Amino acid sequence: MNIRPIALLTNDPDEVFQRGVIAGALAAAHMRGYAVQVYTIHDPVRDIDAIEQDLRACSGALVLTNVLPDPLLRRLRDTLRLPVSLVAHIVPELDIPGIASNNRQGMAILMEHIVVACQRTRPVFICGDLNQNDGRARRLGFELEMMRYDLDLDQRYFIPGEFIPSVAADAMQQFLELQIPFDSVVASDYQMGIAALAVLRERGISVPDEVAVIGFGDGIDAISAGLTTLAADIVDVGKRGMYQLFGQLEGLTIRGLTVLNTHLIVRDTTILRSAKESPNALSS
Amino acid sequence: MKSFKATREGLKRHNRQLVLRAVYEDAANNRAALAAITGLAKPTVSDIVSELIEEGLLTESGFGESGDTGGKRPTLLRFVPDARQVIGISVEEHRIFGVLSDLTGYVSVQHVIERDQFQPTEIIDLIEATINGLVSQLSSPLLCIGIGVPGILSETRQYLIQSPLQQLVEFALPPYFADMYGRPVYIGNNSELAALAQFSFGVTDTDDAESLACLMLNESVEIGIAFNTADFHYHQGGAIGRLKMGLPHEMQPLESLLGWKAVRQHVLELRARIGESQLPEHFTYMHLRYAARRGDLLATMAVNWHMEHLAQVLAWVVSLWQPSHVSLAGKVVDLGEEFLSALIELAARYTDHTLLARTRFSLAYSKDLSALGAVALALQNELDIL
Repeated sequence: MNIRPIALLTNDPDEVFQRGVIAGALAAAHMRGYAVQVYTIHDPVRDIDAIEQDLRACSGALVLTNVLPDPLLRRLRDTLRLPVSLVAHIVPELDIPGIASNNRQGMAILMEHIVVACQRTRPVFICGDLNQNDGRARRLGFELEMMRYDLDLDQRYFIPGEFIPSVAADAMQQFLELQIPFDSVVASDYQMGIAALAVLRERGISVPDEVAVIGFGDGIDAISAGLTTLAADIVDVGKRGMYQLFGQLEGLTIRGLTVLNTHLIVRDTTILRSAKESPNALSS
Repeated sequence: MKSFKATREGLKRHNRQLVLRAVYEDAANNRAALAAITGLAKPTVSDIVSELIEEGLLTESGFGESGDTGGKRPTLLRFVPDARQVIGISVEEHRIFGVLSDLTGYVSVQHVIERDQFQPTEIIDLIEATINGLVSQLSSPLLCIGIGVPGILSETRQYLIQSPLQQLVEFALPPYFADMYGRPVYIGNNSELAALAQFSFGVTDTDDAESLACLMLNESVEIGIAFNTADFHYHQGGAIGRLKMGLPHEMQPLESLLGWKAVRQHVLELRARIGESQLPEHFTYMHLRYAARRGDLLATMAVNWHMEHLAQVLAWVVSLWQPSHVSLAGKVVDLGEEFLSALIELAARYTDHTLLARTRFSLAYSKDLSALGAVALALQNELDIL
């Protein structure tokens, strides 16, 4: 057993994504004989010095999403010289290595399913937190795929979600009030997809006949909701994030982003349409 | 005595590759069949198989059926794809991209470092940082490393004699990284490796192609060629950006006509002349395609200008090499299938259309081609199984 533990920093250990990542990270650490100390950082971060003090006793840190402000990350790297790996986040100017799902490849698969297989042409996009790498990269990927299929990039079809299901549900409600025609919903994460699905059903909108719904990422609640997803193995993200940190602890200089592929899981919320069937965009 | 030893070792290596390749390609799955297909003596095959099993590259997996005359059932052999892993790296002008692959080209993890512009002195360190990112993810022993680079390689294929990344010129990457990681390292030109990847891993539908020319357009202009017949395998490639085109008094290097910087510059000039356009300030080939399809005059003119020059190069490639397949690779593929069709039509102005008609054309959409090709190059050199 290594004496100095690895710090694992989260802002919500019970949230589905972070819970999965933590499970993978803990399993990997256990296999290598490292102890892990999980720190829950509350937003906004108030006492940077106290966190730094805690981390002095650690051999390295695995930081989930953007839970630490950039100045603190800089101090960990420059002052403490602490090996750090970021999960689902990048800070280009700091050059701290990280690990993430392949958002571009994932969005390409997801949009091919929606546009080619399901013949939908007017998707609403529920954005994630645009302060996070995943949020930005998925929105950019969505826009590029819309251009690839020569579909309209109308800003009214981009609604906020911030990776928070209640925010996504409110945004979906407001979008429906506008009575803008649409035929599908693409959510930047699957939990926002589930929230949107509930709103659509509540309004009596038939899914997937009238509106197809798909979300990025996958979890047990997506299975029970029957949501079609673009699955990223979040336990594997945690495990490999830890491997990256081990590499640094063993003296490897690592920069850049390790990227893991995703795959499509078709469930009840999307339906394949033949090219002959003309899609009827819904105006609620 | 030294040369005798080298010959014996070479023969042993050759026999070992014959056996391994036969199992990898499913041509034989037991010792007797291996002896029959390779022409090697049964005891030699047995020795080699034992060695390969010990190394984990082959495994015994049950028993087959007895032959027509009955007798002992043969022990079946199976190739173990994850016995070793291979790292493939592609060094490009704005990114260093790497893949971690098993012995069949299945990629489990990628690693990328992107920059608006690389500092001249940081490239070697960043290649190392990329390899390290993948080394930390290894789940079985590392077999070898392949590295794709932009530019023109020396005859010895140990260093670059010309490259847009100046730090790489005359820097012998293979011995440097072989020494660092204790594993063999091979290098190739990015477009050559893109062609090799298409043949080796079927990234593009090249099943019936005997020869492939891969024209790669990013910041630089490169061409890779690969021949793959039953008894002849060859691949080569390099930058052609300095090749000049046009009338004597207005000749320009291809790079300044077809490289991405040239396209951007041309759009800037058009913007000054035409003004209004849907194109955002920071645009890509995808934006050009999108705007052109929506009738944007500037974007249409820029795409046509690009197509006009590329069609001439395409006509030369088809006429000089007469490859059975030509693929376009690099960022330019975002211009899409409509662009490719129009390009081929335009190329007919510059060459015999019967040559074009018998050539298959495709867009190689994968952005990972050169790194995958680096894996193929390394596997080809180490195990000769592709």
